[in-house]
Amino acid sequence: MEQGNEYDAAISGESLLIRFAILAAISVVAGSLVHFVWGLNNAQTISVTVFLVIILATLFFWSFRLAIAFLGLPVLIFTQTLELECFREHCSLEVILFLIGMMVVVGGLRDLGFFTWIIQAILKMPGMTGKRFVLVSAVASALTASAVDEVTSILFMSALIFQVCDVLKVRPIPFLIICVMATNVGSAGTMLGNPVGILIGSRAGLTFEDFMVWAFPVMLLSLITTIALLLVWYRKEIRELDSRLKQRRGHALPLGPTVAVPFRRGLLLIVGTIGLVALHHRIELLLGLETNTVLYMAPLISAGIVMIWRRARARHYIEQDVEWWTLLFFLMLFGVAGTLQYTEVTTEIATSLKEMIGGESFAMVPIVMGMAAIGSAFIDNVIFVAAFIPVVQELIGETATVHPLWWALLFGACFGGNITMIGSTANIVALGMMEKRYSSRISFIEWFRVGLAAGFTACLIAWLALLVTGPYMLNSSV
Amino acid sequence: MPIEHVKLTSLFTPEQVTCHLDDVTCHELFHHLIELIGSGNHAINIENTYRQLLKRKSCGITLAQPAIAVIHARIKDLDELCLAVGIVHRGLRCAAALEGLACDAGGLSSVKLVVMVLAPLDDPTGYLRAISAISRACEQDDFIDRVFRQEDPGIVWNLFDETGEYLPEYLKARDIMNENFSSLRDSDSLSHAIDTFCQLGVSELPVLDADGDLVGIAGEDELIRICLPEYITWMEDLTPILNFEPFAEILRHEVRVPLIEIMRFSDKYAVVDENSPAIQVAKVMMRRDVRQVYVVREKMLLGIITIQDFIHKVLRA
Repeated sequence: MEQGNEYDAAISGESLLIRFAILAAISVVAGSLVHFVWGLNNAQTISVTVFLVIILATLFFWSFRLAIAFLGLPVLIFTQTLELECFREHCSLEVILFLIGMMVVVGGLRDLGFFTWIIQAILKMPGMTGKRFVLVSAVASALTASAVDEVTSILFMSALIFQVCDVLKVRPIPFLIICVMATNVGSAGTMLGNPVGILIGSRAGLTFEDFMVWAFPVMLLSLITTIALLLVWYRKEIRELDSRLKQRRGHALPLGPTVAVPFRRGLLLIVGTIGLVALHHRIELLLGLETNTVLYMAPLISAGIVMIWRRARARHYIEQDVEWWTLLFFLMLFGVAGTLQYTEVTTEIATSLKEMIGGESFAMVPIVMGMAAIGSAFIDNVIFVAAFIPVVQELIGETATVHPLWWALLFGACFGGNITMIGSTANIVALGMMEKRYSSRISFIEWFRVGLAAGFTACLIAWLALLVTGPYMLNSSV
Repeated sequence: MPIEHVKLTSLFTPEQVTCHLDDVTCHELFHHLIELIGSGNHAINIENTYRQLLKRKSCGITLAQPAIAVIHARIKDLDELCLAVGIVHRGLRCAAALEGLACDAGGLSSVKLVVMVLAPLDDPTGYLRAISAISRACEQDDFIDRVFRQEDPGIVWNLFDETGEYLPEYLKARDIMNENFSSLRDSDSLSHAIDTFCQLGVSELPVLDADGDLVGIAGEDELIRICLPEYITWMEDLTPILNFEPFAEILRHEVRVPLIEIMRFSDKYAVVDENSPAIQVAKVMMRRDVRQVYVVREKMLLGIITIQDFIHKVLRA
């Protein structure tokens, strides 16, 4: 969920104070309600209130979210709701380092022309038709998201969509939506696809192999279903694209200029990075290292190599390609979300859920997936997942590492991002680029209609898949 | 503030009309018309005004219509708009020697009527509103021919008066637009567009259909963008494009590439109706951050207004 930074910056001081006061009042009222109705103690009430302030800040004060997270931490420390040691324990520094490494690698890949090569390969495909273009761009979006991350994927795929739609003079929105939705679905395929993937993997002790075995095939199934749905939904627009493509082919005109890109160096970098990430568990076993140690270090190794290889650009990668603002927010958020666990609010939520459903963790799959999907549709999925991981840990107990509930949380958080136009960072980035380029917007309802259908379908497929794979999953872990 | 309704003929009397402008030099023409204006109630210093007129390079001759030349300038210490009219029977002899004065007239050989409009220095639109009223008067049936035949200034003034024209209450888009503009046809190729951009040295050109309707704008930015698309600019390494390879690919296809590929559509350029207040045009330019606005009647393109037009026509006469 993101709001316009420029808009926030333009608000007058007085108006800002009023809005902050309203935000604080809503949070305090909500906190008091949980205190009196739910019977939470003082520390629990404070941790819930601060967390609510951060959620509301991401909804209404996007550009102030980091400032509010900075202010929230001292409140928790001074009220003795959280200790610094506990914050350090929960802030998932290893996840932050992993993300920094990947961001540098992505910067290197862009410089080396790897993404240019992928886009040119699609543009040069012979006999391109409307359906084929949608299929290729959607699958490329999903796989790129799985291989690097959702934001990088959509940044590059948007350029492809804009190029083709500009040349053929067709409305880009349907094709952009298709790519964004494929990106969100694809981001659930691996630990690299979405910050929630690495966060869940880190907290649950899941390996890259676990993701490849239990998440990637489900992602593929959901992707196929989502693409099929979108092909039907946008059939009219695809037909129009098809007829324009035919006309262009008739004139023997390309979809854009292409050049000979020296892609091998980029390919080597991405294959090396993913290879190291993919083999992390084997290397850890071989070297007797703790689970996921190599996983966290793999992007840093690649980033280090890139920074030596392209030393003239090293500072640029660190200063420009690493999203420090977002990463610092994640760092604070993970720490503050840890307070919910520290004060046992998450235990209370887990107990309430168990009482409602009846204690069978497997029956919780649709509940967790549904909650994650709805939550992620309206607030940043990282916030939701950070808060919900301890709840899932409570629900699972000590039974197994690989548990359907982890995947339910992952799929819900990633697929739920498709429901609204503010549901994921990829949506916001893509729509922002479109608005800047075409000065046109998509209405909330236009997105919501197709987003709800796509999000629901993908979640349904994932749930059915978990019903089938769940028992095997539990057996394999025991 | 109430809008003042000013009749065109209230700006001059028969004493400010001459029917004998033939065989005069440019200097004589200016001097004579200033003398006519000074002969009225306007307390202007003729020599001083003449010097100001010559000194200000930005004053010029505008062809309100092919047969009407308007000499206009804003003059210091002048307190109201004033006007003088001259009939030319044998052509304007000074046309070839305008002695350094700016002239957007194109050709003056068919000029039959010369009007001098002097406006106060702080009246940005007075002369333009006067030109608008003169143009409308001259559009009336046979007006020019009837005026041209006259030898009596009083009858000329009466003919102007009979038109019943008033200065427009405010300046409209059509009053300041340039009607002489270059354009491209929607059926043109990219090759033709590149040639036109090179020949004219402009940054954008309107694209019209067979009916003269504005269908889009072709711009240099779009031209460069199709030669060097975003996905190629991501590469830090310039080796693959050092010799403008993407441009070469465009050149190979330029004859077959339709102009539509470098066209911007209505949401990307500013259009105003011909009757929109001119100040609205300036507002549109500022709000939409564009340097020119297209003036249309329904969809038909009538003219173009640029930021330069505001500087030349409104800030300077």
